[in-house]
Amino acid sequence: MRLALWFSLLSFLLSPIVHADESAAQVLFEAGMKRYEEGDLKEAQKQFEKAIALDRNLDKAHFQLASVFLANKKLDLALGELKRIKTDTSIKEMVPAMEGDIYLRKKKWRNALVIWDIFPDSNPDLKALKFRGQARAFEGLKKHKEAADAWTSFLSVQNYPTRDLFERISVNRIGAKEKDSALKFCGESDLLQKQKSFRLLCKAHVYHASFLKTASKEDKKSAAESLNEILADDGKNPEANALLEEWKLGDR
Amino acid sequence: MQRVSVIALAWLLFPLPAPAINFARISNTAERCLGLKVANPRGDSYLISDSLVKGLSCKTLSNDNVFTSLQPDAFSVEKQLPFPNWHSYGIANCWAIAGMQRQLFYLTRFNDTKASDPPRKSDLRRLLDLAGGAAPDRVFSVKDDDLRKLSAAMQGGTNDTTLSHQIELRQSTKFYNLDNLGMLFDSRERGKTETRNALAQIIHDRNRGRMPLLILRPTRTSQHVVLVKGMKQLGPDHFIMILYDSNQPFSEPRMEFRDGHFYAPEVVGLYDDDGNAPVGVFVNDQREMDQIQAVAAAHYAKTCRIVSALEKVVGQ
Repeated sequence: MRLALWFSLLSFLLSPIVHADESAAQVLFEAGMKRYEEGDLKEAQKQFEKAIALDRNLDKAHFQLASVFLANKKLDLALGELKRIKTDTSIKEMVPAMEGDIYLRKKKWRNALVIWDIFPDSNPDLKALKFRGQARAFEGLKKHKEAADAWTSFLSVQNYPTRDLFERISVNRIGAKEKDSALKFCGESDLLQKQKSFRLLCKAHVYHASFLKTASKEDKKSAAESLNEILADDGKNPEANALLEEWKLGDR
Repeated sequence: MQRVSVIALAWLLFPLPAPAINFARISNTAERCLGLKVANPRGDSYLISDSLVKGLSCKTLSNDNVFTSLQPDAFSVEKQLPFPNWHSYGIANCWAIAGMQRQLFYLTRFNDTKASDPPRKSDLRRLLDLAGGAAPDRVFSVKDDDLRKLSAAMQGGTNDTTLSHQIELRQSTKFYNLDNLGMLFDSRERGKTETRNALAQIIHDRNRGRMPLLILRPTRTSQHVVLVKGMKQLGPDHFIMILYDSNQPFSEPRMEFRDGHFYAPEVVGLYDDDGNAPVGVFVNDQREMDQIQAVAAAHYAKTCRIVSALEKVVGQ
């Protein structure tokens, strides 16, 4: 009883000091954020470290320090900082997102997949991050079918199909020996129904990925035909023009 | 004694004229050695002109007004990075490219005959640092009136890094910035007040020659970053904004504000189903603009000091 009273008294006496440290830590964190946004990562790191020294429970300082380490390619230090984050719910999705990203950069595909598999998907933004993380991990593990499926899911939450997505889906479908399925997807995907050029770009990517794998002249010809069909409708289509040149498919 | 008093009185009444300053020589020397156009129309202050500013007064120069007298072609299409935005593994780089473009608009001096061609290695390294998100600390000069050669040099990179790598790094730094969480995970609905505030901020910035960086949100799952290069008022509550859009590096698409909403069909119509619907607008990265402004103000303050020094050396 007496000990408890002493403890209470001590806590009461020390509480202003603790609060002072917390608010000083907050000031240092904000100074670090200012430096971070100004691109001065070295000074930002110092401020975040000072903030953490005053308040170890300042999760957002751990997170931003991890992001400084990530930018400086100190991946293990970044992971270490993330592991110190305990309670701050406002950053709960960002922590596994960065952790999963770091494992991808370290090419630790299985560790990455574990994180992305349990990553929340409660809104479209989180879904997109999850599918992208899974797709990249499956690619690393050379699980082409699963990677193609994950990239297809990623595409389904986008508003606009981009060239890199056609490429990822095609390369992985061809890797999984699913060329027919890839071509079928190009014809049937809801997103690609918006424009004829999307469907043709998708097909061109499938044929080109197949050509890279098999060196089949027929595939090369089909890729060129798909791009030329786009240019027949719109001679200025930048994607088709760029790909014709990049893939060295000859004049249209 | 009487004689001295008479001389003193004469000196007081008829002071000796100050030695004439040869402004033509100062102007010629500044143009030849510094690549600057210097004028002094009223004889009380030098007016500096280069590829960015026109008639910037040394007398009234301050951090706040450094961009209030810009050249009409300061942000022309030729001064835009000549490559489009790209996606790497599903993530676009428009935010980082727009940030880099804004730095280049303000911190590159074009048509400088003294500039090194190709750029010096130290300059190239510094420019790549900037692309990666480092704070600017000086201006850069190029011989040409466009960014093609400089951009090609940056894309070629150094032994350590390339432009695309640096841009992707900058994009990642934006992504893992907790201050941007609202851009990533919130519903980001824009009410009337927020939209009005965004417009007020854009007008405020443009009146000072600043270039706001905007995050456009047509829908919850899509966002795109652009710069406001110019603005015209068409009516009491009707504005047209001229944009830099990294998806269209050789164009100047427009955005409109009318009836209390922003519309950007020339930008979001490229990838969104309903390009004619209103878009949410967020003014972001104001600190980056502050840094650019501070670097430019320091540059012109130094330039003014040099021109004043020329007055003593060659002007008399």
